[in-house]
Amino acid sequence: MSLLSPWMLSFLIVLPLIVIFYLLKRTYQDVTVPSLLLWQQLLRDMEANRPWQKLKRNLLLLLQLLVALLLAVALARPLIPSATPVADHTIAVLDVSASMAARAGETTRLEQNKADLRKLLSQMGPQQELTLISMGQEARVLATGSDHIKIEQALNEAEQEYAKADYEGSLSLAAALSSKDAKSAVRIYSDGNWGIDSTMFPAFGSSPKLILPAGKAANLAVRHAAAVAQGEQTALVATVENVDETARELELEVYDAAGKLLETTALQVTAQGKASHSWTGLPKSPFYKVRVKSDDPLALDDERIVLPEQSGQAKAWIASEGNLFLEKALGLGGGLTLERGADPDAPPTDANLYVYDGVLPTEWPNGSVLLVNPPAGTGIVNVTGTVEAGKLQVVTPDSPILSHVDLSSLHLKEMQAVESNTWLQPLVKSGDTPLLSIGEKNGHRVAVLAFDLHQSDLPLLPAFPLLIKHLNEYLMPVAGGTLGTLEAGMRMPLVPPIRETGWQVLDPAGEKRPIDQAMIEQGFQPAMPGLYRFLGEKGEELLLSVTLPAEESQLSAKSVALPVTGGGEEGVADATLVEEGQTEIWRYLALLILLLVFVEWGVYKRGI
Amino acid sequence: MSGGEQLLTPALLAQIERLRLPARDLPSARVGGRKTRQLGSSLEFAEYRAYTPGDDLRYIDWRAYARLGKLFLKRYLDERDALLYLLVDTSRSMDFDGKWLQAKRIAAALGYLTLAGGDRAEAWLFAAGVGERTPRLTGKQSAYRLFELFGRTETGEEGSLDWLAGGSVPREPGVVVVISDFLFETGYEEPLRRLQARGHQVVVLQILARVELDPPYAGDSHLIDSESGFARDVSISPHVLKRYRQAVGDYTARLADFCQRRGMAYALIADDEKIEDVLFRRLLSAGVMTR
Repeated sequence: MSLLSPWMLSFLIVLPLIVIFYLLKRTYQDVTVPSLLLWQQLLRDMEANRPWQKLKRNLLLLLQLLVALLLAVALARPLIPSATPVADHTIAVLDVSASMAARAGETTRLEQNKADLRKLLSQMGPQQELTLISMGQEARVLATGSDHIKIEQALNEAEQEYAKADYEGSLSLAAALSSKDAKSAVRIYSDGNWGIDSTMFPAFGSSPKLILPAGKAANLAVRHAAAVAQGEQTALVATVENVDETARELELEVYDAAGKLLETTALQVTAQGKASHSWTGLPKSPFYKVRVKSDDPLALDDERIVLPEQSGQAKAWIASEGNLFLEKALGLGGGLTLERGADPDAPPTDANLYVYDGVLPTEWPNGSVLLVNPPAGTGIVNVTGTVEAGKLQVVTPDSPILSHVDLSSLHLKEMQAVESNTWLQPLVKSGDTPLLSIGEKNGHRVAVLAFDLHQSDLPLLPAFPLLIKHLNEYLMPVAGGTLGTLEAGMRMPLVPPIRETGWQVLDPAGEKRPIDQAMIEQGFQPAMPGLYRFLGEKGEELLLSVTLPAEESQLSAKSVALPVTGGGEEGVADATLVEEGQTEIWRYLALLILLLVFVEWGVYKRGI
Repeated sequence: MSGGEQLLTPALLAQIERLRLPARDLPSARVGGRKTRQLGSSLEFAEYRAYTPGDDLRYIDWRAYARLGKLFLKRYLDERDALLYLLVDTSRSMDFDGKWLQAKRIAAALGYLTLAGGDRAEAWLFAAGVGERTPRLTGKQSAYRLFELFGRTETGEEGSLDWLAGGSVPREPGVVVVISDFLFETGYEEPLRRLQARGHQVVVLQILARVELDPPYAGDSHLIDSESGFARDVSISPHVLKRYRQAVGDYTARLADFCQRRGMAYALIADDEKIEDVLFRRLLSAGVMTR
């Protein structure tokens, strides 16, 4: 046993003081007795000229001395060694990713780990430090230092996250901290399903302790679901993944937007396998909910909101003197209806895509813009004039727009020099002039093809329809009344009409928030899985389905061996630096004192 | 009789008349109404004995001589009266709770039954020495003088029995009843022995207050001796009380043992005992008096 405040033992001085008080401050009550004769024998023994004889067998005094002694010891804050070893500096990594939302008994794994950490905190001495790192979408240091109250507060505020967690970042951060501090110990509260290649693990300063959730956990997840609306009927396909080592029989249910059960299908899924099922002829609904009937610990991945794709709903308006190549390419796939317009400055308002071929609009239309061969002049972009084509140079080869698009054999005669803009990003350059640029301005997505298709061999290349399709997808990420599907924690740029004022978003928890400027500038980042509804002022409604990252469905704990730097010295470091954990026992002493006070009261009442 | 009425009710007095002092060897010198074991001049025949020269010729049974031709002495039992000395302690330690009242009542009752039985009685009040004393009283009608004496006497001084050792022992042999708490610094053995040596039949009645036998005190106490004024500080705990009760038990047992070994009658009487119980139960069983 050790003491946190040994100087408080100076309080023991009150013990002799109490005795002195007893000797000095005794008040005697006068009692007349017929004769002292009978008391003589007694008094000879008791008085005997020794003052401390008076204190003999005085229970009240003994109790008071005991209380004072216990008080002094309690004030000195005694510690007894406890089972959990606590280092001088503990680096605790707390996994807050979606898999930690799995049920564990009455509570979740995250809450269990928090409780563990709280217990660890209570066992720590006042000089011992703790750094709390959250293993979530971002690796963050929640609190650090020896202020246990602050750390506990940060721990209580650590929230469950559903996004794809930055496991590598958190581990690297913990590893870097532990390498810097030789007296540190790392404790990782996670399930070990990090999806990181073992060669990528960072090296820790000392051997980290991985605190895994107990036992294996079977889990079923709706992995993928898609629906296509055709007229009044919808076809839906869903895939269920069995994250378990035994084959399972399961029931898959489809609900409509009103929560009505439409279909129930029994499925067989092999161990660690997937099974799909498709339904046709479902009644029309703004969204569907696919749910696998299961009592697995993680309920979040048991259902998925499916937004049906509306075929043939998007509309493109094209202002051109006639460009058959472009019209054909845009019309491929049948998902787009084309409307030709003559006046570039009088576009309709209901189109999703505005194509300007050989004309330069002066005002932004109400949608995305594809500029082809803009003439010299000022408008939504500034074009300085015609320049000779130079050497073709792909600036961003990994852009999704250029995937499988081979432009190496492109030949063109001349092109328009579009003035460079901060918001316009060149993808392909010819010499120093951007040939193909994309960008976003005032919520409008813009793509610029700075040459005349007729003056090039692009339409003849196999890359052309692909390029146009990719541009289409970029310019029109949403079609119809849905915003598509997004993984939790990912960012989605808000496109018109949501950018206008008065829009609100209703999250799966039922909380309504207005769309603010920050959301418009940085994009919308949904935190939890489920259905988000964007509500406009005029009663418009756009839906967004947010899903859980697939890797978070893995619930069975996985033990991971994390590397340690320094090799041979590691063992020694462990033995000398890891200190025993300690528990304060003053509470028990205080309880005992309280009890003694009651006993003392009883003794006083009895009048000993 | 006014004093007697206060101490003892008339009904009780009537009951007391039926009691008598015990008929043991009555060493009184005066002829009275009691048979004794000594031979004397009463009408009650005791024995015949062969004449030896020097015997009183008056006791020769001449009729037997006429028939048998031998001289026999015819002996009769003697008849004497009893003489009761009531030695009552009036020291200040007796003035505690009901001690003094109890002592007076017992003394009055014993005195009354003695006088009612035709015997003689004397009351001696003592503290450090003999204070007031009645003359030798005879007859029931003089009992009021006893009651009157007890009625007006107050307790006062420091007490002792040393005056007995100093030679003030009653001269004529009789029954000496000493009523006291026997809490004498100087002891009681020698004075009682002196009484017995004078041929008295000694009865020891020890009166103690209930608070002396079983004190209700607790806590730190400044105990003051009522007689000497001497004081001591005692922290009274259950443990101390236990030891005190033990000490009291030892003290009374020592006195009882002393009396038993010397052939004295002894009774320990608490101040809160009923006088009827004391007279008809305690004193009868202790042999202080008989029916």
